[in-house]
Amino acid sequence: MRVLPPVMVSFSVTRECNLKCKHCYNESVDSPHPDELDTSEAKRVISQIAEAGARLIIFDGGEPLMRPDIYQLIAHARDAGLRPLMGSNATLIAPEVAEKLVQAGLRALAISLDGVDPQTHDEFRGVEGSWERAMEGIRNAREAGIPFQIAPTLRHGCWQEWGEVADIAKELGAVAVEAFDYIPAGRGREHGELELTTKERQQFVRDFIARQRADEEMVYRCIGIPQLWVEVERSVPEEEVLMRFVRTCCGAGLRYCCVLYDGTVYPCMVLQKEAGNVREQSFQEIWFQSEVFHILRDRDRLEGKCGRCDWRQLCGGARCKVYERTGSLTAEDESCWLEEKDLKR
Amino acid sequence: MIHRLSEIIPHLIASCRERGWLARRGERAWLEVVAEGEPFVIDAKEHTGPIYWPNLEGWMALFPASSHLILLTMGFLPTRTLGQLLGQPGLAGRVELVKLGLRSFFDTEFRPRKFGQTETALYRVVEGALAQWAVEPQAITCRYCSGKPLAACEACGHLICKSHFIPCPLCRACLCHPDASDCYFEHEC
Repeated sequence: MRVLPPVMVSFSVTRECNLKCKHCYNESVDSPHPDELDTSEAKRVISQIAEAGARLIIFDGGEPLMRPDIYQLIAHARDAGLRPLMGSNATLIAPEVAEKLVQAGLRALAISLDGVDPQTHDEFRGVEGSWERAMEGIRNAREAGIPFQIAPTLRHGCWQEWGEVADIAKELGAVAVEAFDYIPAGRGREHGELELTTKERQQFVRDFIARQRADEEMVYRCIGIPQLWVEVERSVPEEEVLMRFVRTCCGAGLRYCCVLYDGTVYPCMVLQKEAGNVREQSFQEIWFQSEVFHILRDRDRLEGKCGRCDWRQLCGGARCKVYERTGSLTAEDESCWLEEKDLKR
Repeated sequence: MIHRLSEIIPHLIASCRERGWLARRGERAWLEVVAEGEPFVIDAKEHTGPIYWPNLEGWMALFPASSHLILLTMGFLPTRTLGQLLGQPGLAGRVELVKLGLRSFFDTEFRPRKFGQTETALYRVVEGALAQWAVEPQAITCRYCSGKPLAACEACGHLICKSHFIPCPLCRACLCHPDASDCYFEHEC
């Protein structure tokens, strides 16, 4: 099987965060992990990611702005030819921080915003006032000319708020909205009640498709619901699919992976099966040779309903949810709503 | 195969310097170049998928109005976005766009196209650099012929050239010429 280079790699540069989000996949706390990669190690990893052929690198955490050398790392990524992006809660983006990010070469931000009601956001993010500070940070990023996307997390009982968040995102000048399904990984395991029901996921997918079809100004993406793409293919005319939708089916281990602050490499931030560690092997060795990635790349190894599904190359099921539930990388995705008759193209 | 557009930067810098042009890394863009006395910015967006108008407009707003702009993207620019650009003659007249046309993470088939109102010496250098990776962008043309698009039809959204364009006599909307489509007759002011 021909292995393509990664398109995008997330680099969770620290465990330290100033918020206490209920779903944090990184189980971030208010201090860095004692074994975090130091500056020279982190730069070496970034160089290896570039040499592997990646195009984009996303600095996240924790909160990446808690790491004092973050500007050096961004500049190093830029100089290595990567397009540096950052996932942030935005609460620390003061005007001078935004300016330093620009100077370092940051090209875009993904900012978490979980509701239009500050209370909803603050409760989920675990710190009072975080919504206000995030909005201030967004304004500062915009003033500095940093393109940004807004990333709401879809939660049981209040997923519909994503539409209102998308409206606000548009007003604020965001270039994209990227909705994340709630994945019970990391600290998210303690709040399984926040996971969407299958019916809610189906409703969201319908809502998402309708919104993108009606809106030619904003890019909408969704992470964690690869079945969305099956529904897009089944319900939207082909030309419109090609011209309007951004295909974001699961790229874990195929064209995307995640490097943690201690060097551990996962297929995805929420698919926490260790594929290797950059302290022991080069990033390229892990990307091109890891057995974990080989398993994920071969969709003919999928089992059960996913294995019988004609859409498996496109969708493949939410491997993160499967792994959390079963410990298997190849078992069927129980969160899928497709019936047996829908598995044929 | 070119993995990322930034791979061409060293080649661009070398080509510019060979011609005696000032080329340096930009703060908000790949390169700032002064070619034949004109200031240029060259930049790239490495992500796949569509670039809609607010994104493109926001990018252009980062640079001084005196600069010519060259943007390369791994993704693509939907026809509507190009139409919106043509609706801003001041902007359209100073930008050259190259899209490789990737639609998703998994797409590896380049569909290189170029679009713009400028035919500059620097753009030819960019094309020369891309050619080293066998990327040869074809021009985006009028919906009905190989002419250069001047506007987007306000009825159907397609790009149209001066030969296939007609303004509504009442509201001045740009429309496809009646020889080519029914947009003129279907249009309502």
